[in-house]
This record gives sequence, structure tokens and C-alpha cells, in this order.
Amino acid sequence: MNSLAVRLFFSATVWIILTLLAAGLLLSDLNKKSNFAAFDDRLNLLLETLIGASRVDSSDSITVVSSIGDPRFFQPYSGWYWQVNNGAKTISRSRSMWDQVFTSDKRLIGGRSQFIDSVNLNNSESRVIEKKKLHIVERQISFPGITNPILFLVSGDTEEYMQNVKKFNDTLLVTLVVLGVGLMIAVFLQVNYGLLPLNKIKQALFKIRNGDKKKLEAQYPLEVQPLATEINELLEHNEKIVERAKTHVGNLAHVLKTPLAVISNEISNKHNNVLKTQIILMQKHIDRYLKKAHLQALGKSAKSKIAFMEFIKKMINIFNKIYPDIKFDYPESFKEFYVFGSLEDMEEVIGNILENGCKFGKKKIKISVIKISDVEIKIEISDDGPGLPPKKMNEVFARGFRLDEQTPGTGLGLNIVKDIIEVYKGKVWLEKSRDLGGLQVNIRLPISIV
Amino acid sequence: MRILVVEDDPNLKDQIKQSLEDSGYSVDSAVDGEEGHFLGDTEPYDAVVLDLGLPKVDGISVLEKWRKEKKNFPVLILTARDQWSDKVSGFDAGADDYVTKPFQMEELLARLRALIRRSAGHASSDIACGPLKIDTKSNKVFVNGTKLKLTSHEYKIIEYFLHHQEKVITRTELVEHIYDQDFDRDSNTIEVFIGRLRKKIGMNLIKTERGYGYRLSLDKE
Repeated sequence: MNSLAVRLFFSATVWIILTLLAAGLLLSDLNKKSNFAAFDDRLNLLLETLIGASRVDSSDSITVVSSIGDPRFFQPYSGWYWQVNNGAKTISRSRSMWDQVFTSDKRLIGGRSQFIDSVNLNNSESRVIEKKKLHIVERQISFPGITNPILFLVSGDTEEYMQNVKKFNDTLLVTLVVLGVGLMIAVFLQVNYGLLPLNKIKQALFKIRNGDKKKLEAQYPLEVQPLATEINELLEHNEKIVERAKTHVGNLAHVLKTPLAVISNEISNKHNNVLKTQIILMQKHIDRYLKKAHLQALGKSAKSKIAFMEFIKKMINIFNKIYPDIKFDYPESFKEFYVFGSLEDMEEVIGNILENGCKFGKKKIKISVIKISDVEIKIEISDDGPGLPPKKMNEVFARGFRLDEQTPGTGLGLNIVKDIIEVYKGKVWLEKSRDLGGLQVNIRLPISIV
Repeated sequence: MRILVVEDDPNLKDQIKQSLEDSGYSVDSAVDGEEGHFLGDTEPYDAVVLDLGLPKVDGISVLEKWRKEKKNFPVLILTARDQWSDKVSGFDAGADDYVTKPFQMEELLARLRALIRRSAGHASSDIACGPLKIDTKSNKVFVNGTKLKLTSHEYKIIEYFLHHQEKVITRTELVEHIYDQDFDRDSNTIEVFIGRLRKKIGMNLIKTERGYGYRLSLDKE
């Protein structure tokens, strides 16, 4: 029940079923009652006709002079009977009663079992003629010259109106089921239509996550607009905070590092080892905390879809400028793919790796891109430098480790690379380059589906 | 070679200026983006050292403006931020190399030398013209392997010639590239320097192009 649509649909469905059920029962009952009333009226009419057709012959004797219309009064065991009683004595009865008679307490006795259906002799079930449910109307009439009032009694088979009731009920059921299904479809459409703005928000948020959009742009209905506005403000606020923090960190770097540069230049000509080591220490601390601040902002910067091949090309152009002696070999024709992330993070990753390669490599850096699946890519960056002994290949990822103390750098480069790649749910590892003999940095990175 | 240093910290600016001058460059300096941009816009520099965190106008904007105005001198950016995104935005704006603060002055000098060489189309730190050879790393000039004793102005002139071989260089151009802004310039002294250089080199590599200026060339006249 965690879905709004299911909630709405379910509650509406329950309500529809209950209402239709109640309506069905009520209608069926009303119909049955009116059918019964009509049936009762007819029997009363027949009763009155019977009374009208009766003539007093002498004391205690009455003859029904003409038959009453319905042929079923002549059809044996039809259920349509009439009987005239003087006290306990039956004076006259319809032909259809055959050998039966109504007792004074209106039980029907006699015959019946002898009346066997001759068509299906072998079928024991059908031998017994089904019992009929009879409805009886009666009236006592006092005739002049007869001491006791005469009891007139007419019965009819309820089957006749029950059939009508059943037909009506069947139609009613079909109608209500059709109505119910129709209503449910309507509710389904209504729920979907009503929740459309929410679905739109959901899709827009997905796009924001995927880097296709920066904020919720469309106009939403009155009820949802505040939510959209709030989300937009939150997104903006988030971005602002990260930007501000980055500016602060950058400013701090600037105000600390410039004086540090001055001091370190000032004492570079003097042989004061204490000062020199302290300055190096300060420098390392500043770098470390700057990197730390940077790492904490990881994944919080504005993200976008980065066209990766284009990005690599741009980075190579930069390194061509800085290290004109090194030749870069990269798969220019490789099909463009997209990484969803912050450009800064990717610049940090590729910048650090290429810089290491350029510092230690001699002439050549090779970049290969291998598509592993629709959602993952492998990038190999190898150089022709001295490489690393296998034992050290994991150590370089440790914080603050620097293999070559002579080459400038903080030693945090590869560690940062690893942290960033892991935030992007990728993997980075080193191996010896088979082609160039130096170090090969491997990166596996999830990519966006275009 | 004339260099512009744009750095807002007066101490660091002076240190860089001093080191560059010690290495034989003529150096102008500015302490904010506005002044820096103006100097770069009006004076012909051979290279610029540009800090990114500048008051008034930041370094990136200054650099972008220069490039828009088709100023093609090589620019070395100084950045306190160690992140690649900052360096990349510097390169996007048109930088040619970067040095991260704090830095060793030797590193800055080496990068700058390489930049100037590359912008003149030379790959090695040794530049030669026949028997004449200059080692830009140690600021030494040799003829047939013998080191020449040169004054700083003579060195600046021969260095400029060697970086721009076979090119006609006017007297004004020479003045502009060997003296800094504050120097009392006198283009007549150039003739004196050229005369002395020809004598020290011992052969006529510096040709006079009448009505234009001079040209360093191995051609026979």
C-alpha cells in the first residue's frame, strides 16, 4: 500500500463494490416485492372470479357454474388450484387438484406419488415431481340460507413470478458487474490522470539525477507547485552551499600559500634546516586539509552528463602544452560515451593520472578505452616510465604517500583518484604496462545510458 | 627578454622580480588585475607570470581579455589551488603552463624558460646559430665552445637575437624587449651594444638591415 495510485484505486474500488452490492440487493428486493404483489393481486382476482361463478343450490350445497379462465386449473398438479369448503367438508375443487385436497390448515394431501414422469423412467431423481411452492389466498363468504360461511381458496404456483424475479436478478447482476467494471476503469484513468503531475515530478527528478536537467521546470497544479518550488530551492541552496564552501577553501588556500611561498623563497638561500622542514610540514598540512575539504564536497557538486571522449581530448590538449615532449596516443575515433558526474571530479581524476604519467614517463602516454557493457567502461592510461614494483602498487593509494620525493607533488594524487572513483562506484587499480613497460592505471567507471 | 609579473602579494612579487632579473630578464610588475591587464595590453612582453587570485580583476578574466585581444605571449599561471579544475579553467582561458603555490623559484624559472623557448619554436634549452650557442639554463653564451664574458644587457640582446633568428629586429623592438618599463631608454646605446657584441663574437653574425634594424643569420653578406 505504498503507492498513492494503489491506495486511491483500492479505496475507490471497495466503495464502488459496496455501493453496487447495496444497490443490487435493494433493487432485487423491491422487484421481488412488486412481483409478489402483482401475483397476489392476480390470485385475488381469480378468487373473486371463483366466488362470482358460484351458485347456492340448496342449503349446504354450492355449484361452481362456470370455469374460471385459466387452463392451468384443469392441468393436473399444475399448482393452480381452487377449492370451496363448507367447514371441514370440501364442496368443490378444481380439476387440476386431481386426487389432492387442502386440509383446513392448508396442507395439501393426497396423490402426487402416483404421478410418474413416463419419459425418464430410469432416472430415479426425476420420478419424483418437484414439490411446488404454492401461494394461497382465501376468503370466507356467508351466503344466505347457509349457516356456515363458505371458504373459498385459490392457490398459484409461485414459480411464475419467481421466474420473473430470477430473470430480473440475472439482468441486474450483469448490469451491475458491467457498471462496476466501467467505474473501476474510470477510477483507474482518473487516478492516473490525477497523479500525472506527480509522475512528471518523478521523471523530472530522474532527469535531474541523470544530469539532463538542473531543476524542475514545468508548471505544476496548485497542490503540487509548492513541493516543486521547495525542491528547486533546495537544489539551488545545496549548490550554493557547496560553491560557497569551495570559494572559502580556495580563498584560504590563496591567503595561506602565498605567504608560504614568500617565506620559502626567502629562506631558500639560507641554510636553516629547521625552518625549511617546518615550512614543508606546513605546506603538507595545508594540502592535506584542502584535499580533505575537497573530498568531503565530493559528489555534492553540480553534476552533469560529461561527454567523456571530448573531455579526455581537452585534457590531452592541456598536457600537450605543459609537456610538449610527450606524445599522447589515444583512441580518437572511439564512440562518445557519457559519464554522469561533476566535471571537477573527472578533471581531478584524469589530471592527476596524466600528470603522474608525464612526470615519470619519457616520451609516450597511451590511453585506451574499452567498453565492458552498456553501463560500464574501462579506461587504461599507461606510460613508458620506470613503473612501480608490484608490492608498491597498492601503497600509492594510501594517503600522503609519495614514492619520489624529488618530483613536486603532494603524494595525494592517486589517493584522491581512488576516493573519487569509488564515489562514482567505479574501480581503480595499477599494473605494469604491457605495451610501454611503465605504469598502467586502470579505471572502471559506470556510464550513463544515452 | 621582457617579462611581466602580475602578483598581488608585494613580497612574493618582489621575490619573483628579483629572481627573474638575476636570471637576465627585464621585469615589469603589477599588483592587481587592472594594472596587469593594462601593461600586457600596451607593452610587448615575451612572457607573463600571472597570479590567478588578483584584486580588482581576477587572473582568469585578465587572461581571457588578453587572448580576446590577440595577445599571444606565453602565460604562466600561479595558482594557490591545487585542484585540477582550477588549472583547467586557467588553461581554458589561454594559459600555457602553471606553477602551484608555494613553489621553488628554480621551478618557476625553469618553466618560464621552457615557455619562452617553446613560443619561439625551440625545443632544447640550448639554442645555437652556427658557432654561437646559448645555454638558457645557466645564462651562458659560447662561441665555438668558448664562453663569452657578457654584461647583462649584452646577454639580453644576444638571447633575444638567438630566440628570433633570421628575423629582422628593429631597434625599438630591441629596446622594448631588453629594458623594463622604468628604465631610462636610449636607442642609441643599442648600436654601442651591437658593436661590442660583434667584437666579442668575433664574426659578423649580427647583420645590419639598412633602414630596418638587425638580423641574426649565418648568411654571407
